[in-house]
Amino acid sequence: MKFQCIIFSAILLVVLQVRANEEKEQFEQLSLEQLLDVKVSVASTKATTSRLSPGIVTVITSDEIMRSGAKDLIDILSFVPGLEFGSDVQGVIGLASRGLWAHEGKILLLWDEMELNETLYSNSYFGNRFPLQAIEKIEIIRGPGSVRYGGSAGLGVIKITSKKGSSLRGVQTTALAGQEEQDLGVSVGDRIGEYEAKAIVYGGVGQRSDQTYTDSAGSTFNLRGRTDLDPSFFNVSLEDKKLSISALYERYHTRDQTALDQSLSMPVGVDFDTFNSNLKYRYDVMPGWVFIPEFSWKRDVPWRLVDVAGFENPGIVQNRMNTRSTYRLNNQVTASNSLSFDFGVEYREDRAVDLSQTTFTSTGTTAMSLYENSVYAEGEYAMDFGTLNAGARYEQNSGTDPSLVPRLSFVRQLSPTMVGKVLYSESFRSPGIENIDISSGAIVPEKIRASELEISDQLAPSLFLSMNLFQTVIVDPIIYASTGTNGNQYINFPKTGSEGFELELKQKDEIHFARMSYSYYQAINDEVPYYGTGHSGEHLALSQHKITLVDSIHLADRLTLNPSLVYLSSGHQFDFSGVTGTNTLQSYPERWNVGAYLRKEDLWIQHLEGGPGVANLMNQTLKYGQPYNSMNPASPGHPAMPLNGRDFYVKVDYRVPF
Amino acid sequence: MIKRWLPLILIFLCTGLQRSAIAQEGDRSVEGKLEAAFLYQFTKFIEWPSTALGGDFKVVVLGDRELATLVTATMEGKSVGTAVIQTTYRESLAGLAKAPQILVLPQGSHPKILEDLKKLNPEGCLVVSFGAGMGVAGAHVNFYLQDDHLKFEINKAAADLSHLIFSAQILRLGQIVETKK
Repeated sequence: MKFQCIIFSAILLVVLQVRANEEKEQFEQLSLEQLLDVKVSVASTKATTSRLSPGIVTVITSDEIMRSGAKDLIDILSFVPGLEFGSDVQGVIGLASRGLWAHEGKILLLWDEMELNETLYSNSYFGNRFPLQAIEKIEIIRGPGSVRYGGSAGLGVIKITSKKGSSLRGVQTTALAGQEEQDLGVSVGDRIGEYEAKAIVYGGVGQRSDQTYTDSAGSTFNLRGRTDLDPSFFNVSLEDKKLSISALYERYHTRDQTALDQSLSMPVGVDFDTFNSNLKYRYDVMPGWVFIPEFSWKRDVPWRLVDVAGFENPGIVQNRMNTRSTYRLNNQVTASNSLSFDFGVEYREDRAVDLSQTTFTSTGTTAMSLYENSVYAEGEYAMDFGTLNAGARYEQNSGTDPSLVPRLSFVRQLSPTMVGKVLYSESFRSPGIENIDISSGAIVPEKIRASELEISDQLAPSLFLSMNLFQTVIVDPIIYASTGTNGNQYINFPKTGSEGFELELKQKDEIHFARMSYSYYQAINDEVPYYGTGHSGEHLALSQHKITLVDSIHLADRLTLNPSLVYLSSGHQFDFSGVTGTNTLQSYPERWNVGAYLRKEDLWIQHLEGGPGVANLMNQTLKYGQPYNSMNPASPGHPAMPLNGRDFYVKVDYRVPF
Repeated sequence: MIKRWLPLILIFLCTGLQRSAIAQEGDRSVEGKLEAAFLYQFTKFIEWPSTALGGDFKVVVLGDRELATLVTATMEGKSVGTAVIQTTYRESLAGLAKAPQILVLPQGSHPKILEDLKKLNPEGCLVVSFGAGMGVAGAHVNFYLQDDHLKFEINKAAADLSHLIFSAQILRLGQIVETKK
């Protein structure tokens, strides 16, 4: 397999190199007036590009999202090297990164700086949830981010930036009509004087799967109509150069019948309700020093079981409301041409109240609180031979031990086109309210240590290659495990980790783009039996090899065919076996998820674009396995969750400019 | 084996059929290409004092190798009047004995660099920057992004002091700013 991947990469490299050499640079032939009309992506407004930033970062722009034909954020993130989805419980799908299950509190999901991980367990959940047409760009940091982003960013950060009013400058309507999903989104925004305002409304209906599922007891049923994914999403913001105010309300209604391992007799609703708000002010203290006080307030009711009647397992019924208040005082200082740094303090307060009057184990009441105080600093010093970045964060948590994590990186321009990065980062996972409550108060924060080395090269004016090596070790991972006398609780295990490499090729210009990646991981420090498969180097339900490709083929004027591919190698996961009649560890075959989208711009009228597409073209039986097991042979966990089969759809996007 | 690779082979056969045109991506290189193209256009609409000409027409890019590469690709070998354009990359002002005809400052430069520049007697040197406040601090041309487009400010008073004459066309297209002390 490794040999095949190398050959595959070499072929792609040659093809893209040839294509890049065909480019004809034309900017210099444009007049001044024409140059002023050329649009530059907002992704480039940062002085530091992803190639030069002190991290392993993938940036996906709005243009790429629209071209790819992606229906959902899952599709977009599936194209990112090292990221893979897995199944949790109750039909919820979460993320793994570089062979490590990251669903619970290890990857931070942000929408315009507002945190979208739920507050009880810090889970991030996916599937027909976000309005892709409203997104300006997605930055995926594949590595520790705690120094800057705190205790939910141990393995990475997914930072979504929505389109601003000045970017929208009109009304944008997007409709998706498919066999399994029907969504409608409207975004409106404009710049009015110094102010930019925008509003996003999005909603729809969808389902996780139309395939047959067999639970751990052998009960079989079709998931169609039993795995609803129905989003309702509202986002507004108003900002000028100094002040920014934004709010987001999300009601994510899902239905599930698969439950934990044995299915229910009927589907039940599992809702995630979230209100998020953020207020930020930028105050110029003096030239080179910006002071940014920020306040965020969030209220969520995650994992709320709606249709309790008929539900057989009331032990996991949950109806807990959380509020999180975060106060941050940030300072950005540019001391000289070569030295700049950020520093600040943060105070966070979490309060959970059980709306069904069930008591928290640790408090004996129906309420529970957590407090966190943090201080952080990060500086960048540019020298002739490279840029040094160093930072640290110290956090006190009222429910567990404090954490201190440093970070150090060095970025050097090796040649006019080549950049090298060396990074060492420590990170931590702050246990959430439920983690602490279901732990007898005995867990400590996870500590994550990651070493990364990246080389990137601009092979041609629009062709970029990046390669990185990584090693990640998690010390004291928090695992939901059987403790014998106390039943299942969150406890710390000694260690787990992974190492491997990622390779990414990107070519992009006005007419076409292509992005290809290959990633590989190997499990190390494998001291968590809940993640093991009995096969060396492999974690449960997570494929060691991954290849992705998104391409855009120019067929005619404003007409493109956009094929995509995600390949995952074979591995092992728990699933029901018709042979043994039990839910047992078994190998799964390699998976090819091929899609295609035919996109026409200015379809009949100006500003109308869209076209037909197909997902899972080869109609493969694609499944998300559960990347952990219960270590209980009688009930080893949730059997693998099938996804939709071949799915035809039509996307239409219409923009009315102001 | 063939079946396993068939989808990839088909896709890559298709990718070979594509052609590309003007680069317009989200990376710094596109922005850099635009800046380089602007610089080249500026040489047609700005008049340098005769004392600054003679020999090669030098363009120095500070602190941004990627931009320097793009400027070289765009301008190297072309000419301004009879002078041949020569582009150079430098990490910093240190070691620069004489001001060139065009000096491109790194993105996000601190205004203090303009004070350091005065030691080089920069008469006839067009100073180009990219950063908030650099235009009013004294850079002759300061690029900025507005509504996803690259725009530029012109500090005409500072240009006058350096004996650089901007044409009416360029003055019409840029935003005129004044030096703030």
